[in-house]
Amino acid sequence: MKEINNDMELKKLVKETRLEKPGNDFTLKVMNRIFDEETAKILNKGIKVLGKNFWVFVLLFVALGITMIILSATGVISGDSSTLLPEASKTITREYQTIFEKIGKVPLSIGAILTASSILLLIERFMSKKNLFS
Amino acid sequence: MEQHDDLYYIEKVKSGLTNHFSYIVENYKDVVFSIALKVLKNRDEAEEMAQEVFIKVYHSLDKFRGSSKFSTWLYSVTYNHCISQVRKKKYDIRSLENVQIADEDDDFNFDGFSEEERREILESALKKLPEDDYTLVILYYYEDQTIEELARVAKLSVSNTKVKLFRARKKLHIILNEMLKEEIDSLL
Repeated sequence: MKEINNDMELKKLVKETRLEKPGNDFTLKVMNRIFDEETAKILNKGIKVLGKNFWVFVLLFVALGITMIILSATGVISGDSSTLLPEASKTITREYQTIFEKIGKVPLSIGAILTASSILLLIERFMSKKNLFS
Repeated sequence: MEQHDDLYYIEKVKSGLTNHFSYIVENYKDVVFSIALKVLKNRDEAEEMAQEVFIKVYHSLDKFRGSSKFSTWLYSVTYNHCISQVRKKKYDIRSLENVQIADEDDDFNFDGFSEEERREILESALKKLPEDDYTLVILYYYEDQTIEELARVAKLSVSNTKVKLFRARKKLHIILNEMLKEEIDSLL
C-alpha cells in the first residue's frame, strides 16, 4: 500500500506531475517583443521632443522680430515709405487692415482656448515621449 | 552543450547580449505559465501574462543584485504580477476560507492505480487548489524553494508562510482523498 504521509513523498509525487506548457513559440515571442522594444528605444533616443520644423519657425519669428526692431529704430519703417510706391502701399495697407479687423473680431476667449490647447498638446507630446519606455 | 547557471546568463544579458535571455525564458517558462494559467484560466491570456512577466523581468534585471536566488526573484515578480492583474481585472479569487479544512489524517493510498493514473489524479487535484495555494505548493514541492524563499515571493512572514503552506497541503490532501474515493466508487 502506497501511503503519503510526509513531505518527501508528496514532493516526489508532485515532481512526477507535468506543468502546463505555453505554445512552442513562446520564447521566440518574448524575445521578439524584447528586441522590438530595444529597437524602438534606440530609435527614440535619436528623436527630439520638438521637431526641426518647430525650431525653424521659432527662428524665423525671432529673425522677423529682430528685423522689425532694427528697421523701426533706423526709421526705414515709417509713414514715409508710402511715398516710394503709393499704389502698392495703399493696397497692402488695405489688406492688412482687413486682416487685423477680422482678427480683432475673434473673441478673446477663443484665442485663450486655442493658446491653451496648443500648450496642452505640446505638454502631452512631451510627456508621452518621456514615458514611452519608462 | 555546456550548462551554465542563471547568473551566467544574467551577466551576459546585462553586458548587452540580449539573446542570452532566451535561456532564462526557456528554463522558467513552464512554471511562470502554469501560475498564470492557474490565475487566469485562459491559455491565451495566461501566455500574454507570462510574456509580460518575462519582459518585466528583463527590464528589471539591473535591479537584481543576486542577494537571493534568481528563481525566487522571478517567482516573486510572477506572483505579484499575477495577483495585481487579478485585482485589476477583478477575477474571482477563491478564498482560502472556501475550502473547509478538517482535522483529519493526511494519509491516503493509491492502491490499484498505475503511475500514470496517479500522476493524472494529482495533476487534477493541484488544478483544484486555490491560486495562491497552487503557487506555494508548486514552488515548494516542484521548484524546491525553501520556506524563506516562499516568504519572499509571497511577501509574507516565515511563520505565516508555514501556516499557509500547511493549509495548502491539507487542502490538497482533502481534494486528493475525495478524488480517490470517487475513482474507487466508479470502479465498484
